[in-house]
Amino acid sequence: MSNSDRKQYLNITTLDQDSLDQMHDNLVTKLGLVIEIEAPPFEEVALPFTIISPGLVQFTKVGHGLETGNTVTASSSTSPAMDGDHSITSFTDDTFQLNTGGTPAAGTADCLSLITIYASDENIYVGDTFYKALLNFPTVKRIMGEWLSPTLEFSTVSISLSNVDGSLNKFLPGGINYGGWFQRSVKIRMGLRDVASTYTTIFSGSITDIGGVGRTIKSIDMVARDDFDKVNVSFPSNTITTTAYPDIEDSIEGELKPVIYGDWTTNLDEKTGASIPCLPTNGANAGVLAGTTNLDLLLSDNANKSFDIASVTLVRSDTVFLFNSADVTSVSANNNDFQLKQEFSGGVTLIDGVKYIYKSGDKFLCKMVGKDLGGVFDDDNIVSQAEDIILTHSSLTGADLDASWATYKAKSAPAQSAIAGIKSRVYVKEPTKVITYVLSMFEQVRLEAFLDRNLKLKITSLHFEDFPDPIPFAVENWDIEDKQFKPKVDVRNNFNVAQGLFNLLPGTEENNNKTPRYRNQATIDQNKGKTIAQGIVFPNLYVRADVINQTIEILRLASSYFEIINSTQTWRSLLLDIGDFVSLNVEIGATVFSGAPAMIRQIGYSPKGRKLVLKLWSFQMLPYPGYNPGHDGIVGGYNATITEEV
Amino acid sequence: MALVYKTLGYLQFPYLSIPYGTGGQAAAQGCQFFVGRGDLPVGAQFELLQGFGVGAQFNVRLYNNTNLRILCEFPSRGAAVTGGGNNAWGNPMGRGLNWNASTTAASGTNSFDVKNVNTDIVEQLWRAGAGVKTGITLDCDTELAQGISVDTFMMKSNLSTSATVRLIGSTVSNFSSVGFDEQLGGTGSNDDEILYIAEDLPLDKFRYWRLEIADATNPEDIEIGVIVFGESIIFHQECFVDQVKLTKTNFVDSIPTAGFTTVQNDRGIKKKLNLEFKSLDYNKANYPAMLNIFDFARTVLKCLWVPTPEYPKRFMIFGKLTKIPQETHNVKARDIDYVNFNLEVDEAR
Repeated sequence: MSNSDRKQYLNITTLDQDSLDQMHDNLVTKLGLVIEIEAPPFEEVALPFTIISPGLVQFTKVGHGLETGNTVTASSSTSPAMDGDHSITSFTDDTFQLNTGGTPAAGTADCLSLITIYASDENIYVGDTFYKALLNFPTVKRIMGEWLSPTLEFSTVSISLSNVDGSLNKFLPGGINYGGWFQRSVKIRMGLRDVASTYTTIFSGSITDIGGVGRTIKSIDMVARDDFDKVNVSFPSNTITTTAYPDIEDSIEGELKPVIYGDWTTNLDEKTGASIPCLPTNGANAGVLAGTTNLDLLLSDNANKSFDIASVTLVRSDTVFLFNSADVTSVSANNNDFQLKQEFSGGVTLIDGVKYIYKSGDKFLCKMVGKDLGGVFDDDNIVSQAEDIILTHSSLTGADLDASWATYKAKSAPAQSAIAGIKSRVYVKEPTKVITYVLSMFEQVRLEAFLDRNLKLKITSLHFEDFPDPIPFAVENWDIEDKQFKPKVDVRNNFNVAQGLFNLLPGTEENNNKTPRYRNQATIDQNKGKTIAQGIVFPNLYVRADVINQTIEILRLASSYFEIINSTQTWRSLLLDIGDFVSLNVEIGATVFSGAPAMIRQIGYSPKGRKLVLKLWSFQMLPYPGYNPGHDGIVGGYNATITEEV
Repeated sequence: MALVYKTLGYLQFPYLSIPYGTGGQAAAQGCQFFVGRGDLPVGAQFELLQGFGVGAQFNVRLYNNTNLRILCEFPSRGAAVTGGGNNAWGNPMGRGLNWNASTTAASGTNSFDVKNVNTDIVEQLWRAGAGVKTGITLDCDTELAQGISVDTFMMKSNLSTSATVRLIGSTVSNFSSVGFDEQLGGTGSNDDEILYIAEDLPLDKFRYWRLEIADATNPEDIEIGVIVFGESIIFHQECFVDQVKLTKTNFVDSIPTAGFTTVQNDRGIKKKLNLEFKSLDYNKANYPAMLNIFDFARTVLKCLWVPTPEYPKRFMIFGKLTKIPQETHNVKARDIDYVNFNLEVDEAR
């Protein structure tokens, strides 16, 4: 008789791949899913209290709904000794007593008692907290957006809490604790049994105003969206108003103040010589129109590193004039606004032989260097710029960003993937979603961002040299739910000819440059001469060599024949994350994968069986350093021959 | 809705059909006692409740500890009404806050409160303070001034076989005087339940009840999932047939894989009990008692079912009816009606 423990799930206290593998050997585990929902609190302002005995005070509030064990945070302007968190020692329906420890004098206090609903799909303790069976969980998903279509999809979770017994009525309209539900936090965690240390948060968000909270005769229904809704905000956000600029022209009022990063002194429009627009902010002033008052011009909302006073250019009726630098004055310390002298305010610049006076419709351009990022990395660094956009224009903090940001910021080899050396610049004037813009920046250097299993925003790359070898996690037939392995061709991302369009200039609002067309002739030949061409846009890149490098690398990827595989896997895959690679060793009917690498693009946690719903990107036909498929018909990959069309 | 206790009937002398005591005494009370027939042992006991000048008033109960008993109402959970002031522990009456523990484990979310012994969720626990294994008391104020008697007690816990559990009843909340004192012993080796079935009909009622627990060798902190006690509805003479079906269901989430295996997530085992009743006499007390349970507990309330009180743990189940049974009546005449039905009690509902 063997004495091995075949029920490890009852004894294991850590949840790592080893323990999952051990439990999988016996095909059984015990994983729990729990949810914590912040309910509307008990909240009273200036609630009178009396002294029962030293350190014991009593509040009277009809139908307060609190119980022994609840904690009340009190603050009192009349009796500071009341301040702090105190536990309820006893209560009646209409009164409750707090053990204050101190000796307050009778008075009034603001009282706040936070209430959290602890629920699960089973009655379960996790650590020292009991979660009551009140709901069936939906599948919780995290997604990396489509490659070359940068969007971050947010997880939305619909929760229906059982209220058949009316126990949650106090939180509903007419109830004692009814209050606003919007923005109340929701956390879903998954882990082993009752072992609190094994539980990780698979969803952290808040109740939205879309869908919000509703009720049926037997439930409270709510919709929550994950915390990264915080990056689903638009920037720039500051507008040009008549309050700040009383002499603004009607056509400019309400425009957004631009956000500028990077070096805008080079690779600019050949005709104008400068590309950053300068917005007149007192163009309706009578003195300005008479040429007696200096014209105020605004560059950006943010402070800039430098401003070239010799570059200010007027565009009037398709004619370009350069201002004398002596007319550029009052440049702000932030380098984001300045004045222009006119004919009767000391200006010397001649326009068509006449000293300059502002006319409505005049356009101004200049050269400058955008926001000073002040870090160890270059102000041109695309990851640094993306990071600053997120931290400046959303409510995320540095703690929300994974360490991979620092890694990729500093990546310096090989040349085609040397982020530290690739130059980027940003000019945004129209409202743009922060996350959409950042993902677009990353796409240009073959980076992607997603929410990792620690719910941090993490960067992963499509750089061949970053692909793992060997791949530590192998997926076998017995990891896959029956009939839930479904490959299909990734039509969208298969092409064999590409051309880069780059250097978007704000003055013209067009990509100013193009690369040659590049092709993978082997792929074209394999498809009997059929070319599938794709234009790839690099609006933030402006150095030709950088763009050519990226275009070629993207073509090596896209011409290799991708497949997308939708697969449902057992809980042995629980610790995998988006961006991770698995080695597919699967033979199910006509689908045969033998050691084929696949990248996880989407993860869903299905409560039924605690299984993982994955979307994989198969690289079966994509050689990369360390992986040589050895199949016939390999035409793409890191060593594919890409040629310039002539 | 409380259980309805029906009187047996009122007759006036000289219409008593069966001589008992003296006709004058029975008739003066306006009641008739029917305790058995022929040579069958009946085990009837009478409890004297109150005396009046006009005669005696009796609470009549047939008691045995051999037949099916069902505990449907739990006075151990306190009074049914709110707004009656505070109980002995300073908590509002009628809120299920009628227990007081000498020790409770710390929890930032108050998850081990002693009130948890009052829930039907057996997984929701009271837990003793870390390392406290002896000298533990759990005091219950039934919040009923007249008190209650206990003929059936059940507790689910993690006590070891060497635990000692003492159940004490008292009329005072500090238990300075003891009117009921029973050593319940350990849990046995195969399950986690302590059951107490009174040998005789308990005649005394107490408002306050205390559990004294010592389990020095238990490697885990002491936990109790549920405690219920009170007076059961007891079958007499008739009972279920001897084919008892007991089912254990392993609740699992299963993932059949492409590798010809099934991977599972184990969520626990629960019991289900099927009892078959044949030819219950429509005119005897058992059938109306069962109807009473169907009406009261329906399929929504858990009850404690003890089919074999002499060896109670074998078939005991704390669960709900899966459905109200279909009755098949063998009707021969108005007073000749015998009822068949099967019932199923599921502790996973």
